[in-house]
Amino acid sequence: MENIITDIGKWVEDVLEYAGKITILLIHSIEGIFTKKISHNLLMQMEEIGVNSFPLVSLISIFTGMVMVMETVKILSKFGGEIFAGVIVSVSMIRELGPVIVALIVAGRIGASISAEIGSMKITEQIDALEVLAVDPVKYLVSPRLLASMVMMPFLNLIAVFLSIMGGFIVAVYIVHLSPVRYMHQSLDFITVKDVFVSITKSFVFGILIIIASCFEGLNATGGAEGVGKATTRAVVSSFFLIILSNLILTAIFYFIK
Amino acid sequence: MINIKNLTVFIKNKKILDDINIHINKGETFVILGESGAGKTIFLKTVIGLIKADAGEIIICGANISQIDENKLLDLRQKTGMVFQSSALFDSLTIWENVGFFLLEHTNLSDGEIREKAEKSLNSVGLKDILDEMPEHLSGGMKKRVGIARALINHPEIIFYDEPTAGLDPVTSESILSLVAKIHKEYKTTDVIVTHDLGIAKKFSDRVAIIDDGRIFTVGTWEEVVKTGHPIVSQKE
Ligand SMILES: Nc1ncnc2c1ncn2[C@@H]1O[C@H](COP(=O)(O)OP(=O)(O)OP(=O)(O)O)[C@@H](O)[C@H]1O
Ligand SMILES: [Mg+2]
Repeated sequence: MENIITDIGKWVEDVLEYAGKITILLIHSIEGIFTKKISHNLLMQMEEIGVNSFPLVSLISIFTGMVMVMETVKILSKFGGEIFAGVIVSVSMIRELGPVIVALIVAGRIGASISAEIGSMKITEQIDALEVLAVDPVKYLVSPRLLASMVMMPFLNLIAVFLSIMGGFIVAVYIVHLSPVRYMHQSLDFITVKDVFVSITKSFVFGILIIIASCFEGLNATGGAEGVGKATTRAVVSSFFLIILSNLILTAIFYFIK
Repeated sequence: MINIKNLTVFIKNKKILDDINIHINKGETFVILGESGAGKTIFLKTVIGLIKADAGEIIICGANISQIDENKLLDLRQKTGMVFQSSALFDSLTIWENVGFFLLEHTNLSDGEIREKAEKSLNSVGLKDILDEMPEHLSGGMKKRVGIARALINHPEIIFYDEPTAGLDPVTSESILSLVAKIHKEYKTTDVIVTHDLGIAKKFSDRVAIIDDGRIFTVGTWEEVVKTGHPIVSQKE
């Protein structure tokens, strides 16, 4: 019994310590956004995080939309409501699935590559070299990635929502033979301004969490190549966890805000 | 020039450096000799302020490294150079950007002017025509030279070398060492070299300190240090 309590105590301590360190890194890198000239790095990062994630995000979104229509049409047809298939796609995508799916994809792609890149800079002393040359590693490496992610994630997310509706459209119109005009109408009619706001807020927050969690693991990598591998795994796992957890919290908050 | 008093460092609750006292004079070549794992890298990184000391005091060029403000730190970074054990070139930047990095970040000089300065610095370490190469295309010895060129760009007063010959074949080691000696003469630098290589201590040092398990065992000229009979100096070269 005592063991369990000390174990839990240790676990709580670890979680709090992690949260504290992540928060410090976040504040530090936000400072960097306002103080450092990050222009040339920024465009590169925007391309890497946004543009290069686009193909995978589009493909997965289109397929998700298609699958959702296929699965729901059967049930809806039992009470003649096939036409609402579009609503189901758009409403579930905009507030929940869109932001989460995009975030998970980006966490897998970018989280892994950022932690590997920064982690290998750490173990080859490049981070130390930055400091010796009087450059703050957090402002130099984390801030541009953070800003790029803050800008690109909401875009990717809205594109994902739109493409999933279009994926559903393909199935609805060419396989189920619904009216294209009515499908589009239903899909878009049920999206409110608040939904769009929720969607953008979520993807914005997820974008921050992915970058901070991944950079944190990279900056704290130790040992050799093996250490970088571990950092990469931890970056992806903790990003996934933070995305799911913060989604729960954000959904709860928006549930209570009318 | 460098004054270290009662320096103690813990890493993950393990004592890595234990009550180190060293005074390094202007213009001297000070070699710190120790086996792998003795704490040499940690020592250098603490002295230049990359690792926080848990106790003790480090004064470099009149500044206390643990209490220094940002402007003074920039000034100190300009007066000191560091050559890393693993060279630590930025692998996403070209050679000239690596060498001119400090100037790119902290001055308003044009790219052309910085290239020119980088080229000069590269010439003085014996490298030509590699301005636009990427670090991955260079050999270990060339990377070391580029690392030295980067440290030289501001004409520093002190250069710290972490294992300048580690991982190099004997011929390349020899050429890097004569480069270090040449720079010492030309730029009149104070050199702090940590190494496990007896040859460096024997040929280049004004004074030698032996570091063993985080403690300074002895300090003196090479002849004095040899007389102590510490295992590291009594082994065959
Ligand atoms: N991040 C770390 N976590 C735990 N222990 C560490 C860490 N870094 C270094 N150490 C320990 O500190 C001691 C000194 O390490 P240091 O890198 O200074 O050795 P060194 O003298 O430079 O050796 P080498 O010649 O192999 O470079 C070693 O025993 C090492 O295991
Ligand atoms: Mg070392």
